[in-house]
Amino acid sequence: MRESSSLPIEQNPYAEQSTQTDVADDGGGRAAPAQITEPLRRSRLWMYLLSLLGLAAAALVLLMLVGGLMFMMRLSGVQGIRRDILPFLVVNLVYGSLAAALAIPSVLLWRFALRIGWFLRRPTSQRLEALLASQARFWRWSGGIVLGLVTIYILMIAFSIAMTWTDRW
Amino acid sequence: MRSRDNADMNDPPPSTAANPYAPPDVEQLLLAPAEDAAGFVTPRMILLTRRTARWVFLLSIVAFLGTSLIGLSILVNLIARGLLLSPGMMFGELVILLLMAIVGGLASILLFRFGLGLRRFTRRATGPELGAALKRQHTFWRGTAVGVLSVLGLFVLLIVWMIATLPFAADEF
Repeated sequence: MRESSSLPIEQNPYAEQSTQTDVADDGGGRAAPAQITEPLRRSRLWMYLLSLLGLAAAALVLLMLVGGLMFMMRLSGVQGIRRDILPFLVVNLVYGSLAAALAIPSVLLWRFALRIGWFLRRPTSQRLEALLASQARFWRWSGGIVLGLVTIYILMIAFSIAMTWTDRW
Repeated sequence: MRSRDNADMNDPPPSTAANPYAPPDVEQLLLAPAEDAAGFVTPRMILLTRRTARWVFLLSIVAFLGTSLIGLSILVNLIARGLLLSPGMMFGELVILLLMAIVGGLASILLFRFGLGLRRFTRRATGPELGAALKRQHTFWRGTAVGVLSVLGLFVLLIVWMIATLPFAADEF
């Protein structure tokens, strides 16, 4: 009988599996198969496109916000904030949060798409982990922002009901 | 099989079924095809995917509710006007709202399917499941992008149509 530890690793059937299967290892783990890389490769362009559209929409909302602020400043003059400009303030707050809600996920989506390109250049398991972390970050932020927007929307409804109520009484 | 310690014994190696203490067949692992994703998944990938799936489900439900609200607003609009739609902007508005509702509904369904794919991957933890989930994500991005482009295209067409019909509208006054 032979001593298994004295054999070279290629001939040792008891060697650890990870050291044997890293055939395509380039320093970051085993190379990803096509069934993982292909959907990512095909998603990238759509993600860039949606990210650009989101940024353009955010810029548009920002323009509306600036216009609203200028209108509000003209309305209030030098007398400070009056009661009748309060609704404009609320609307501007909504516009500002909407611009942020569009811009932040768009930037994160852009970074996610960039990370896909980085992964595809060297598709290793370590890089896939980093890519999935980027994906998780994007969806977490998007979910948080949507929850924030829903809260603002509900508050706005409550505010408008309150305004109507005080006007009536 | 590679020649093993039986080389000097002249009898065949015991089969795996006969020998319950046999180690895994490393050569079979080495000769696995390149597209095989087995062994590629790490625990961190599963953890990250589990975190992602929660938000994806939440977003899909919120998107579906938002779409339902748009659909409700269309219905209320139609009922309030007694189905007497005046031609022009009002009709265009309703068409855009309807398209937005359809696009939003489809996107939320695709997003929910992506979430289901992610959850399946976290339960089975195999490479093909991850590939399937990423494929569903691709379908979601493509569907959403095409839908958004359709809404934008219709919006541009509506603006062009409004500008084109503006002189005729001015004549009426």
